[in-house]
Amino acid sequence: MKALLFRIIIKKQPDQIQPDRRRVNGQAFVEMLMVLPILTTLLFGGGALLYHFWKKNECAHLVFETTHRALLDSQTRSSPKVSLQQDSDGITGQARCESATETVRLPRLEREEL
Amino acid sequence: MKCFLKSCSSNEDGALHVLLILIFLAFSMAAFGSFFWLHRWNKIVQTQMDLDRCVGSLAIHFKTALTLTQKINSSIVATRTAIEAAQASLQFEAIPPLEVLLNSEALAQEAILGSWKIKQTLWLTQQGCHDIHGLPLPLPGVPYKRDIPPDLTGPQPARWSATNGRESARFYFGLSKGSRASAALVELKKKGITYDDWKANWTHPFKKLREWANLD
Repeated sequence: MKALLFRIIIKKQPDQIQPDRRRVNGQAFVEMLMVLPILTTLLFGGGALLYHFWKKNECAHLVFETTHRALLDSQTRSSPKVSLQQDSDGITGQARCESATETVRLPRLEREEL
Repeated sequence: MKCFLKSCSSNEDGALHVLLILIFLAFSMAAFGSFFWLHRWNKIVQTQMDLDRCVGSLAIHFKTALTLTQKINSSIVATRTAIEAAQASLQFEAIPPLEVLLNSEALAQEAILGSWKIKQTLWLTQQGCHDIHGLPLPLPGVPYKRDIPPDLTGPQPARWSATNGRESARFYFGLSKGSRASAALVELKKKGITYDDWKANWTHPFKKLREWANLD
């Protein structure tokens, strides 16, 4: 009974609700318009940064693995992604990773006459 | 869909909250996932480099021990020849210093062989090197042995004690940790009996296993 009475007291008339609601909705829309570009920029910027970072590291890891494999097996040839260069002291693997160039040099245990 | 976007609550002002939380969660998961993989790659490379450094330094150490043993052997042979020549020509005053030299050469050789034995023990007890531990392949011994007791001239040169000859001798060094492994091989590169002909090389970690399989 008390609850019903309370509802009746606080219940506004329909003509009183509409302007308030419109004002709140409008403000929320303006806030959304202001925040959305910032949020989108942050999200896409962060995503792009993460993707770039990921691709670069994936590529660097690939260069290391390919060069290390070539160190164990001299028959390993350069791949389209990683170019290998052998000399008497070691092997150098190089690849273009996004905008950077990744170079890994692994030494032989002993100098070798090629 | 409407319910999904409006978080199914009576408060319709928070319409974007669930969507934003989902985007944030997806972004966070992608970020943490990426950092997990980056950390894993970094760890893999670090482990491989540590394994290589450990196995490589050991193979070089072994090669040096082999080479030094052979060099000292030839010095011992030369000193013994000099002592025998002095005995034959009755130059007895020249013999004591030559004997001292011969004994010190034999002692140096024993020190090399002994230090390698200590290394072999440490390798097994530490399960690798002091800074990286894993599953080690037992270290080969330096295949030189001195005949005891010494003859009348003095200590004899250490002789090759392995069942197979020097030319076919192959010494493997291997250590693995997790999914990574490193291996090195010390062998005679050119057939001959020069002193610096032992060669240490990286090899495939499972080469020894493959050789065993072929033998069977």
